[in-house]
Amino acid sequence: MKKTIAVHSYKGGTGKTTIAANLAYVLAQKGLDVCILDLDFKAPSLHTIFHIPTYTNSVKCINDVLNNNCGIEDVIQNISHRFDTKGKLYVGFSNPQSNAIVQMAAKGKIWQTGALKQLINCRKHLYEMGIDIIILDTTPGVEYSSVNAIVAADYTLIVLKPDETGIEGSTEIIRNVYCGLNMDGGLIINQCVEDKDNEMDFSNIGLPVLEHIKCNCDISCKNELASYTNPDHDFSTTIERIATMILDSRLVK
Amino acid sequence: MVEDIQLVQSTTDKDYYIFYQIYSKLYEIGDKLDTLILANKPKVDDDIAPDVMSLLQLPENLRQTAFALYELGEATAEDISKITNKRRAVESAYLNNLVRDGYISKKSVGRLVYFSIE
Repeated sequence: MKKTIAVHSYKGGTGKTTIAANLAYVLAQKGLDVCILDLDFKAPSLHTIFHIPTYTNSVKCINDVLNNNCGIEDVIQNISHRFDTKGKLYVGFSNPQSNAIVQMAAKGKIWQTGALKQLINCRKHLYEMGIDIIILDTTPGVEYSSVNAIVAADYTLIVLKPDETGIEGSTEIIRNVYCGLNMDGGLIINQCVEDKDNEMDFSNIGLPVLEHIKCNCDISCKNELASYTNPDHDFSTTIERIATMILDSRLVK
Repeated sequence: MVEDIQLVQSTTDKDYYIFYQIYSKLYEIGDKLDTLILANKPKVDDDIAPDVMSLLQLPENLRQTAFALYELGEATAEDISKITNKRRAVESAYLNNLVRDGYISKKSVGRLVYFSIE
């Protein structure tokens, strides 16, 4: 089973990275070899959830892979031992330094064309290395890095808050980007405050709702891997259900 | 060509003059052909690239073909048709359309034509 799953959202701050990181951990804990890549070049944050120290200039990042300066194997780190996962858990970070963020923001069309080719090559290479599941944590909104990730993925999880912005924005990107790319995906409604959020109408967004997740300040404030530190938490059990859907091929055929 | 001229110099002056005239005319024709080929070379807009945002603005059929080419890197129309489940001739037309618009490039290897994202 080889699958690439992108985690995307219309807006920032929806819990996309937290969900992506926890999903990667849970899948690795189930015995799969998983690799999660931070493709949020505008605001990298995956390293903070895994508590990996910030970078020095000597550390290679995904930016270097897309710039053709190194291979994906030079960037990913095996962190399985930190979390005692049954399968291997690899992470690849993007460069959080401000000069790197500025450089990535200034890239043009031709570079982005090469970046997509590199991303597709990375996927192929990771599969050849034995990785079962690749999770791509993307930049929110319609950015080159996020659309490139969606194209490179088999399935996209769209995370949104149960509010007007989340619903309208998600509807718009699904209609104009996902449908245009003929991509498959599902919705995760995150940060639901009251039960009535579960009753809101998400049927016109254009993709099925997979799960509702309650607003969990204890998780978002601690910025930790809840599925590891607190596996019985509501949040963790929801992530578990999403992971099961992926494994059962209910999401990605 | 210098050797050729030296060769004809061993003939009569009249023959040499005729050969030299032919040589000069051929050189002139070759020069004009080069100019014509350059003038008729399709102009590719610097703003055109096969990036995802540009492809999103293409009609669905061309977009599918372009993304299939991304998957394969370099491919013939037949390779693409296996992914898109369309006929080879249809994909060939789409691919040539993308080449004309400057999104992709093509090269011939023997009788096969390979297309690629530049």
